[in-house]
Amino acid sequence: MDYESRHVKWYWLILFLAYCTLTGYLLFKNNPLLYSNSELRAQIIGKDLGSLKILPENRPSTADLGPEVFPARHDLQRSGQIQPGRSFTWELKEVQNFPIPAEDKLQIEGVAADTHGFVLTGKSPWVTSVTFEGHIKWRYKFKTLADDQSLFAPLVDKKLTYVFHPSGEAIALSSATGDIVWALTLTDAIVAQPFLWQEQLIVPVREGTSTKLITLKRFNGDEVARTKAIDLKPGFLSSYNSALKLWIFTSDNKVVALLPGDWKPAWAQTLTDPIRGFAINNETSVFVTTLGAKAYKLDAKNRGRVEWEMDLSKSAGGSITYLPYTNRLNFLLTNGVMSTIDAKAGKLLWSYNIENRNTMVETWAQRLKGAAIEKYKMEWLHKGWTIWSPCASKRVCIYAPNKGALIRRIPLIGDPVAGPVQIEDTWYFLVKKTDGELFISHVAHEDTKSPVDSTEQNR
Amino acid sequence: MDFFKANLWEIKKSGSLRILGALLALFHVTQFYLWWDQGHLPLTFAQEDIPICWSMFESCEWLRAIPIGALTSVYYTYGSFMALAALVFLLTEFAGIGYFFLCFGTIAGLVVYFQDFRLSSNEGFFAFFATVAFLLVPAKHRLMRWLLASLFVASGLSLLSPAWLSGIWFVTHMAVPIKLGEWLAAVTVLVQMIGGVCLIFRDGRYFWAGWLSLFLLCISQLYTGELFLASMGVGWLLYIGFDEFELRKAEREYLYQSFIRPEPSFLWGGILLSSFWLAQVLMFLPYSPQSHLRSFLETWTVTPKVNHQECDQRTFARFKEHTEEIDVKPQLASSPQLSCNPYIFYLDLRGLCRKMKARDPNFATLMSSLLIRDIHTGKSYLAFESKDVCAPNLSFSDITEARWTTNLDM
Repeated sequence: MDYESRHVKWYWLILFLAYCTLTGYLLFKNNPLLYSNSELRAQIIGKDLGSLKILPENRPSTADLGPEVFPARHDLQRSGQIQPGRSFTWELKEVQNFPIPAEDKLQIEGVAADTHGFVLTGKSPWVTSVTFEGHIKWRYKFKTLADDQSLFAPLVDKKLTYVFHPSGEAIALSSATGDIVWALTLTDAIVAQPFLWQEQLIVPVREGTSTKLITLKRFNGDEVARTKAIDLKPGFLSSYNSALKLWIFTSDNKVVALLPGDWKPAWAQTLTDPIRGFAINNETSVFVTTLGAKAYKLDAKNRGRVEWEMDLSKSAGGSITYLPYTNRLNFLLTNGVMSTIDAKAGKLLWSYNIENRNTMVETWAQRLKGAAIEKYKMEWLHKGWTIWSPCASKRVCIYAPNKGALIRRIPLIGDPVAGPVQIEDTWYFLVKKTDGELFISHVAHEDTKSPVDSTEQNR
Repeated sequence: MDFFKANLWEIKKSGSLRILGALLALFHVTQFYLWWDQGHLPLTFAQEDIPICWSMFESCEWLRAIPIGALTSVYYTYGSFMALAALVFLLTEFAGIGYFFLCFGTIAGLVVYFQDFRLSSNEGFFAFFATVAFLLVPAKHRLMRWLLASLFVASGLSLLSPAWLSGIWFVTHMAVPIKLGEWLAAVTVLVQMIGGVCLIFRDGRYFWAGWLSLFLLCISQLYTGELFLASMGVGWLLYIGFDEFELRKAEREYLYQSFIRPEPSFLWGGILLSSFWLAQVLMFLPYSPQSHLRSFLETWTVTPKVNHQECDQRTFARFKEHTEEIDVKPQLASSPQLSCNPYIFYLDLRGLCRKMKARDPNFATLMSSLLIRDIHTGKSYLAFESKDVCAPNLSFSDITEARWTTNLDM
């Protein structure tokens, strides 16, 4: 450029215009059509999603992890039956209890167990693995947890404990040591309790206003598949109907059956009120209770057709227990009353106010030995199936299924919160004393040597 | 000595260059103030075990040969000499004294600046680069005009990336709608690239249009909180404005000009400008192996205001009885380029190891993984992943080898 001349020469002007054009070209090349930031981000993420946020890079390539140990409601059908193949003594008492050391009071909401102890989660970012003798095995802490959030209940298999943060973190820890085996940050929030299915871990995550299921390999967290949006609301619960090989989900007032594998809906049934607890499966039948104080029997083989519905005096406090051979359903109501209904006809058989004031509001079913059938004049046809339930305050009771006759009352050191985990001839309960302190209570045959303080036993 | 005399003569005879001298000194005073405000940053870094080397140095341990006491003196010399230079240039006619204060202040400043790569910033680069050119390169009027125009254009060029043009910077800093953020980002680039070029036109329409648009941009940058960079831009524009007036006046008084000293050669200025532009163009070239020349020129490159990398670090602290995921507070890195530097992450982790060991006897080690994504390409790579970051003899070169492997036999 001629520095002394103020007038811009034509060739400089052309050069300047060319430069301006180049600037404009580069501008649009780097941001075509000035697309929105969110689109840009989506495009960037879309380029390389697979390797996004799973660690470590060198994870196990294969492993036999077995089925879930002590699943919720004791089996995937969520029927509340413990060890159908075994019968037990009724002459039980609390033989030992161990305090769980906790720096701050654990607000337990999710409990899982393996053969060595409990894994506890709740309204804090801590996951605590504690042995049945009350020793802390290991603890894991997520970075943060909002005040209005809770960690999901852990899942435990032969070797791993899976823990979940609602923001979308899934972590597999060694059940023995608490070491991280893999840690995955999902791009979406986890909206319902994950579950194990065969060799896979199924994690429900948010997809707009619906849910999608992400299938992960249990041993290394690799993603196997993800579904499209499924019409399931956050907080849904899952159970498995083994007769029809269907997963049954209860979501708000809907019961939805999905085919495992591709997770396509088989049928959906809408009820009048929101459903309380799990859907219970027995053969091709599905039983649910609702917050509107109703109980339903659905026919899973017939697209969830309602076979019967019955009104309850109060809504159920928790899930239903199915008593085999007697073909009865048993549950606790929110007012502390225990009800038993005929699963075939949908009629109330008996109702008995057991004044349950414990934190735990779910019953379960176990078989007693022949001596108990004889002693308590139960029917041999019922194979010794009895109802076990938290009762009154700080107690667990055993009832006969016929008319609810009390067989045994087992006082505990505190309110039963979770359990039981039944290993060999011992039942392990998580109990809470009135001051909030947590204990692990061991219940066994009354002849078992008891190191428990006699004052505790005589409360 | 003649060399200095010639340079000094140029400054003495021009009011606008004296103003520029004062402005440059003030920029350094601001730089000193920012370091001081952040806890004497250069001295803090100098007291750390391991320095972060500038890319042009293969090793920078030798920089630690300066005792901390001596470095502290140099550091304060920098601040005080620059303040004196600014006062002398602004308030007195003794340009020579101001020139030598600026000279010694710059030497002291460069000694401090090159101590650690974490001290690098666009502002620091602009200030030192322009000061060295101002002090040592002849044909200052023309050079400074071209140089300052180049700095504006290079700054605009560094923003020509999807990372900036997505508008995310404006969205995060000013909470504007995304679309507005995008347009603001585009306008910023256009104004700097085209307005910068306009500054070298002699035609008043182009010059003042460019000057005004850049001035408005710098004023708006003051609003967005980029005080130092924006003040620097305003200062330069004020100098260029004065320079333009001075040039016009000189043209009007052409007949009365003394030609005892001819116009200095622009050769050295041309070489300096060419080197500067070579460095800027480097970052647009595909990756080539590291060479000494490339490393040297990299230090002359204007750093993009937004990082084109995204880093995802997850760190777990292992204690005797528990493991917890923790946040590692990053060390202060003034340059966005450093925000995803694995070495900085490594240093942060090692520092945290020491702190946690001292604080908690049950602390065992840190496990950490750093994933870096290039948002230009969308590709990511694992910078490092280690199960025992606190191992006593672990060095940065080992950290990539000490892989975090899990198996189910544990």
